[in-house]
Amino acid sequence: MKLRLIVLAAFLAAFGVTCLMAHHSLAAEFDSTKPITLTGTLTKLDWRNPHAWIYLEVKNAQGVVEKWQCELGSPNAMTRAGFSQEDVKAGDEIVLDGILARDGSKTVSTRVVKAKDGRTLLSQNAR
Amino acid sequence: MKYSLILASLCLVTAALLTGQGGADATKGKGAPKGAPGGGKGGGKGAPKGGGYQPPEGPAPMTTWGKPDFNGVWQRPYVPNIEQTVGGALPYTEWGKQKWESYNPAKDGDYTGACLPFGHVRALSSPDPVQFMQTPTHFAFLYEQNTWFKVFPIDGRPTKKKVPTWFGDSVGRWDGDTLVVETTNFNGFTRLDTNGHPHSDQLKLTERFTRTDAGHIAYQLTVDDPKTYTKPLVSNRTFTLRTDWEILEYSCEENNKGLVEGRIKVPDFENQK
Repeated sequence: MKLRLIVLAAFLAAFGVTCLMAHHSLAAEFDSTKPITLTGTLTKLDWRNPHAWIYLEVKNAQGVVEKWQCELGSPNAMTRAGFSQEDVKAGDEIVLDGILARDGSKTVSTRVVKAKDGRTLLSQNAR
Repeated sequence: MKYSLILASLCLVTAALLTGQGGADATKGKGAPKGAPGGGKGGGKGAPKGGGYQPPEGPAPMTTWGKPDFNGVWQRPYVPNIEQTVGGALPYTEWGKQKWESYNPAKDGDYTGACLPFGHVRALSSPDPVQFMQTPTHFAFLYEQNTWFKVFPIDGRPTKKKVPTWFGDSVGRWDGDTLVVETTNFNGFTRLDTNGHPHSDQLKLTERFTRTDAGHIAYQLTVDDPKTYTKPLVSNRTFTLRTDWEILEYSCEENNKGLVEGRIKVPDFENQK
C-alpha cells in the first residue's frame, strides 16, 4: 500500500468531486483543485450525521503508515442511495477518491470508496 | 465567478439525475411523469435497495374535511442553484450584486456548515426529503434536513409572531384546491441555495402547492425581495410522494468534525447581513 497522489481527469477534478449532494458549501472546507486517491486499510467507519467518516491507514512512499480521515455524505442520503454501514468493515483494503481539505491536514472529502477489485462500496450516487 | 456558475449548473444536472428529477422537469412544475422519477434508488429506513419505486397513481386524495390532502413524505429536486429553476441569471439590484460577488464561504465562513438554520428556501431545496402534516387549521413542514420543523395556520388567522427569524413567519390560505403560503419577517441571515445566492430581510415568499394527482405536487415558489432583485424570481418544481420513505433523524451537530476541528468557520452573519 502506498499513498498515491494522482491527477484525475479534468472533469472529475473540476466537477465530479464537488457535485456531491452536499447540503452546505463544500468549498468552505475542501479544495476541489486538489484531488487525491488513497489506497489503504480501513480502521473505522463512523456512521453518523451530518457526515459519516472513514478512518484509514495509508503507507506513504517512505513506508511510514499515515492516518487519514475521510468525510462521506450523510448516512441518510447514503441509505437512500442503497448503501449501509454493513458494506465495509475494519480491515478492508479500500481505494478512496476525494479532494483534500484546505487546512493541509490529512482530511479528505470522499467521492467514492471502492474495493481493490473495483466494486463500489460507498457513494452518495445510487448503487 | 463563471467557474462557480458552470459548476453549479453541472451540479444541478447531476443532482437532478441523482434525485430522479430531470432538470427540465424540475423547472416546469406540472407534468411530472407518471413513472417514478428517480425510482430505482430505494432508500429510506427499511426500504428495499434497488429500483422499482412507483408513486401512487390516480386522482389527488382529499381530506375528510374536503381539502386536498398533502400529508406524506415528499421527494423534491435538490436545487443547489436557484438560477437553474428561474430561467438563468438573477436580476440583481446593486445591493444584491454586491452581496453575491462578495460571498466567500471559504474565507468568511459557512453558516449551514456551522449548523445554523438554513432558512426555508434552502431547507426545502436540500437533498433530504420533507414530510407535510395537515389539519383543518394548521400545516407543518417536517424537514429531514437537521430535523427542523415549521408550523403555521392555514385557516385565515394571522401570525402573532413579530421577531424576525431564520425561517420567517408563514400564513396559509386556500385558493381553490391550491394551498398558498406567504412568508415574511426573515432575519436576513440565510441564503437561497447551496451556492449562496443572497436575499435580504425584505424577502417575501409566496408558495403554491397543488396536488396534481395521487403521486405529485406542483410547487411554485416566488421570491420577492426588492432590495436584492429587481423583479420576483419564480421557480416551478415537482414533488413526488415517497410512500417507501420515512423521515430519518438528522443531527447536524453530532458528528460535524469540520466545525469542531476548525475547518469550517462560523460566519459573522449579523455583520454580513
